[in-house]
Amino acid sequence: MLPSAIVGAVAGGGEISATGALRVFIGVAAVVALSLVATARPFYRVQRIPAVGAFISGGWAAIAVGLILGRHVLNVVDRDVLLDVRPLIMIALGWIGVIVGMQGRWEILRRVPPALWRWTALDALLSAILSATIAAFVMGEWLHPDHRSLDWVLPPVLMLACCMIGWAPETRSIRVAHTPKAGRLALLLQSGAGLSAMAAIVLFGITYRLTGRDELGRMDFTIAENASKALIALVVAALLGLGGRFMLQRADRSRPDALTVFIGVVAISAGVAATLRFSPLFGSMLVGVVVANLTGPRVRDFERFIMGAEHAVALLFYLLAGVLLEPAIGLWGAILVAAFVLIRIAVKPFAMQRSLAAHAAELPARSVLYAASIRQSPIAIAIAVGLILSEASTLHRRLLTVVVLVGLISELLPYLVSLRQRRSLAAAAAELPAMERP
Amino acid sequence: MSESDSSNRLLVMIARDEATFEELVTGMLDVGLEGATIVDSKGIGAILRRDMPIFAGLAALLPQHTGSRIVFSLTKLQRIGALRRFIQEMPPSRRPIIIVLPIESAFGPDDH
Amino acid sequence: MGKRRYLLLAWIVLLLAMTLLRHIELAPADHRQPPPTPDITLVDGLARPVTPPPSGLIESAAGLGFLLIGAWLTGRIFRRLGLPMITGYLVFGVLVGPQLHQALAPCAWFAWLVPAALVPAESLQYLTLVNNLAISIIAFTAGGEIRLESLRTGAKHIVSITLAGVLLIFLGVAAVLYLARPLVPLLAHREPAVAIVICMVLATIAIANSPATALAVIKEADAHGPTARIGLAVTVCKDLALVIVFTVLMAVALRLVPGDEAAVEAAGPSRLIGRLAWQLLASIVIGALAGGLFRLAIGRVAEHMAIFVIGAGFGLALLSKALDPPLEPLLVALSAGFVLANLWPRQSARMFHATEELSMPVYCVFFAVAGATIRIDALIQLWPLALFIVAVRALLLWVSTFAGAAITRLPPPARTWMWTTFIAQAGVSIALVTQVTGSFRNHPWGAQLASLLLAVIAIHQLIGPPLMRLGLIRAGEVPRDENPP
Repeated sequence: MLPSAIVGAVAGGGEISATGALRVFIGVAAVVALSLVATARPFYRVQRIPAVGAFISGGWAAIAVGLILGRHVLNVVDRDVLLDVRPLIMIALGWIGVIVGMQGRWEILRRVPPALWRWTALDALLSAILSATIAAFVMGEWLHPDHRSLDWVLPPVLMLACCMIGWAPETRSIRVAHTPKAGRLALLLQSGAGLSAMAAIVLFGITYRLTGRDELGRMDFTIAENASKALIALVVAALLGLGGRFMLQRADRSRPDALTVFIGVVAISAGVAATLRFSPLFGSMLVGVVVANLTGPRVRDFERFIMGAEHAVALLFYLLAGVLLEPAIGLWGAILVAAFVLIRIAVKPFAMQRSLAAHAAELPARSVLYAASIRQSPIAIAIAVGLILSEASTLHRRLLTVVVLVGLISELLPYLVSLRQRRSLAAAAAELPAMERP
Repeated sequence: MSESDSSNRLLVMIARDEATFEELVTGMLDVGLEGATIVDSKGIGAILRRDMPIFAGLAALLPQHTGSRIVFSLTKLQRIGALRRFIQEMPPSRRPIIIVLPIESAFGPDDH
Repeated sequence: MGKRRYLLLAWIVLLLAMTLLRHIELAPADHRQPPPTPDITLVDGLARPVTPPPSGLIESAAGLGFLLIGAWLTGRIFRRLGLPMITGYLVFGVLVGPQLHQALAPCAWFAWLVPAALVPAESLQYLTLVNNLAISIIAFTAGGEIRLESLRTGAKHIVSITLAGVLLIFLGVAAVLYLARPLVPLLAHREPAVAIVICMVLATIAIANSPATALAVIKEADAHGPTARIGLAVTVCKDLALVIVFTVLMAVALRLVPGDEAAVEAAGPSRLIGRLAWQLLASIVIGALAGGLFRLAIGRVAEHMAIFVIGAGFGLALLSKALDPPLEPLLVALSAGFVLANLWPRQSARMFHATEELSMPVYCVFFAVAGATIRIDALIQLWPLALFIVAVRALLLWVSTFAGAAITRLPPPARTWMWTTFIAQAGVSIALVTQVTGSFRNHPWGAQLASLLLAVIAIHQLIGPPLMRLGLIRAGEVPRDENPP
């Protein structure tokens, strides 16, 4: 055989077959094409149509594409081959963690109104407790009879609870009124979503470490061991953040230097966290918080660079979710989906209105935005995909499907409510004499 | 500046990031353009992203500075030519957008 | 504290951090229960089997990050010392890779301090995906550097130097080694046919050079002139010629000295020539078509050129492997870059600019991985003979380049210094060695020959870049501010 087929000079494995290469090529081409289309200006224009925006904002189009490319439809992208590029996906997960962590700048946090802290805390508490209770009951029936003890039930329950925390930040697709009060409410929704994303990742990071299994399948639940590892993680994150800042200052203003350092910092954050058996999402979020609170113009350049890729990275994860999910969730999975959707409908608007009650005068009395918090946070997808990276099991894939379905249904409901309100407003406007129409 | 000086132009330059702005300022000083007004700006890309946040909604609480700036300057045509030649030496990704507008009249504090 | 000291301090801290991480990774965990038997099957909560991630996969993300930052820091330090940055990337790879660790492991205090390679072999293998991207990006950029106009004016020099190089190096190295065979342990007491084959293999590998290294050094030094331009074109042409020479060599060698049966069958002349023709022609044509497709896409992806370049790089590499028989990824990407730069120079400038911006992180990983896989053990074992071959090759490179350039009247200093462009060897050479090892695995000298070749390549990898940079400086093609005292 001629040397051409041997690309790269590394001894050992890692080479994939011709068929695998073709499949990954098609997958890569689809990912690239979709991310280019979805981040192109004409597509932004299309997204401004409320119906399209509602469908797109949760990433459901990309999830659908992933599902079509995956083994359940066209079988073009083999999920096992995809998992061989886990290091790169882990770096993408780290990217999301850094994006969320960069919000933790003191300058931003001190502007968070007390109502928003209350809202986030109440939402996290109620969502986590209720969903964990339901999930524990369902897992007790769903899991294999030999695996219904606490150490089997706890990990998926805690993961699902973390996915239920928070809500989607996008409001444009369901917002009907453009009044100052509605604008204030939309701002609170958007910023609260960011804060609750941080809360979800912190909780997930802790539970991931406490309930993770090592390479021999043992769960390490000793508090002392985990406390020491948590301390190491904090110290490592702080050092990485400081080191990252140092490196950013040393990089030339040239893009190549800056790009190398930016990608390196993200990769190390995610990789070190994964090596220490922490969630890459959590580890890199900590690094993002540290870096965000350091001063310097290059840090702001780093922030803009990281944030600039937000949509492309999100799209990648939605596509991955579509490829990796396992639709056969059965009766118990469907019950879980229904229960979670009901919890979201019952809890989210309640937590929102309760927390914001003191500011009722500044906010609209009635608005479809009060239903916006029903929509699931995009972080839930990242959490569920991240879990598959560490353990690519059928259970985790089905849990991902549950998360995706909860997200899809919870996305539709507020949109339908806003559609109804839009129609009634349009009907009311049509009845006005021509001169009085807005 | 007087009404009848027809070689004057309004120069509007959009520097999309810090690096571009830094080089532009250097170029302006090199060609003798010392008077300018600089305004922080935001591109439509940043607005579109703000409308569709995904993970980082909390940042909406803080006014976002994208690094983009607009520079306004009243200057003579010859300096604009020199500035263009300077800009042509810059890498394509660092070049600002330049708009040159004729001026009918302009009045400074001493001209009233 | 000076900038250099800051960089050095950061570099030391990074190495300490990597060492500490390895200690933590390898520390025995507290056991609450005795470890299960090795053949236990992991299952999930649904009692479905779970395949844990292969060893090294999870750690390769951190490995990638450390290689990026560490290589970048080392490159910066080397630049301050007046050496090429890519030598720094290579050296960092050597320092943290498994080969050096294996060589130093017998030393007790070292083994205690560094219990395992900072970037282990199991992690490195998962970085081949990045290597695929690197090869595409480097070749694409190289293709973009080769302009039709300069090819027309320089064609005679390129052809002359390439032919002179291939002929003189092959014949010279083979002849010197054959004549010196009583003094060479690998060749002494061998049958003439075996000795001839070994000499031919060594001579063929001696032709190989590294377009990737040449381009990296030229770009880093911002070199412009005939030495850089023609030198780069010749490295590419030599690698193409190498494919032909290697094909013929294997056909002849496997007839003289029977090797692996499958390899012998595959090396049948008509099959080989057919595959070779397909490889070369199809690679060029498909690369050209890809260049055309990129032109169509460029206007639409302007804002996200980086994503497009990464996707295009992966796409070219994977598509080349997906076809049967596979294409030459280097040639596909080179052809795409050449077509794009020459047919649509203005429109493609943005894509090449984005590729250049991405090149630094790609080079850091590519050359660091190359450094991590340099066979230190082979070097330690065979360095005298390897050095001898390196010296012979260097002399022949100088003679052949000078002769080839003199025939076509290429003036000095290009004529005098261009030979330094051809010293470095890298990925393609190592791929050929793997091929040779596979074909002659039934012979006791097969492994020794591979070790010797790897030792020679290791030396060339390390000395090539600084010598090339020196040659470009002496040829007067490096701007003053890129040329520190």
